[in-house]
Amino acid sequence: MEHPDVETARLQELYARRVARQGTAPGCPTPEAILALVRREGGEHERLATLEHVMSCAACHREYEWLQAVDEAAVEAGGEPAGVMRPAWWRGAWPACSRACSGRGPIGYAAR
Amino acid sequence: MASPPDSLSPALERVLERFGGVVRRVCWKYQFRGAEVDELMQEVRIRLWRAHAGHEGASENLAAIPASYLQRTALSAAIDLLRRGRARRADRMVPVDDEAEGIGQSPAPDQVLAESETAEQVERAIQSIHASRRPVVRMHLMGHSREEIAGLLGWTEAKTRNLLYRGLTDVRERLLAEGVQWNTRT
Repeated sequence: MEHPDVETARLQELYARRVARQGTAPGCPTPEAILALVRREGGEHERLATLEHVMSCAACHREYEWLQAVDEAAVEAGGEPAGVMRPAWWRGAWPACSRACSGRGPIGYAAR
Repeated sequence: MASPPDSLSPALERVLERFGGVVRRVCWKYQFRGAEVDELMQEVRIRLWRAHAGHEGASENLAAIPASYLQRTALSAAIDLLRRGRARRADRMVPVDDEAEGIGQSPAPDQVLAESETAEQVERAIQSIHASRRPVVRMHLMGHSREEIAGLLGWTEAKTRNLLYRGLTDVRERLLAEGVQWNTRT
C-alpha cells in the first residue's frame, strides 16, 4: 500500500475535485475502447490515449471502474485474465456472442 | 401474469447465483451497489435465457457453461448498460459525482475560488509535461496505485515508477515556477 506524501496527496485532491467538477470532458471514447483499455487489448498508443481521457473525465472514469469491476468479477469466477493473448476466433466471437446474447443469432460457443 | 414453469430456470438460477455472488462482492469493493448491479444481473439473465431457451439439452449446456462465455456475456451486458447510461445523460444533464463536492460545511467562496485556480494551474502543468508521462500522472492523481498502473498497461514496475516520478517532478517544477506552493506539513 502506497502512502503518498502530503504534497502528492494535495495534488491528488485538487486534481480529483477538478475532474469531478468538470463532469464530462469533450471527446469521450466509446465504451468498447474503455473495455479494450481494461482488457489490455489493441495497440498501446490507442490505449494510452483512452487512458488519458478516462483519467481526466469523471463520467468515463466511472465507466472505467464499472468495466474493471465486472471484468475482475468475471475473472474471479474463472474467466480469462486481461492481457492474455487470445486466438483470432476468440476476439471474433465478440459480435457473435453479442448477437446470440441479444437473441438475434446462434448460441455461438462450444462447451468445453 | 405468472410465467409458466419450465426446466431451464433451475439451471439458470444456479449459474446466476454462483456468478452473482462474485459480481456483487467485487462491485461492492468498487462502490457499485444496488440498482446498477441488479440491472447487470438481469441483463445477463435475459441474454443467457435467450441464447439457451428452446435448444435441446439447454439445462445441461447452462450447467456446463464456460466461464469465458459468462465473462463475454457479462461484459457485453455491462457495455450495453453504459450505452443506455450515456443516452440518459445526453437527455438530461446529471451531475456525475455529487459526492465530490463534499458533505457538510461548505468552504468559503474565496477559498473555493483559490482552490479552483490552483486546480487549473495543476491541469495546465500536467498538459505541459511530456505526452508519455501524462496518462500515468493523471491515473495516479485519480488515486490509482503504481501497481495498478503497471498492471493495466502491462509495464514493469521500474518503467511505471520511472515515468510516474519523472512526470510528478515535472508537474511540481512547473507549479513552483508559477509560484504555486502549499504547506506540506500535516
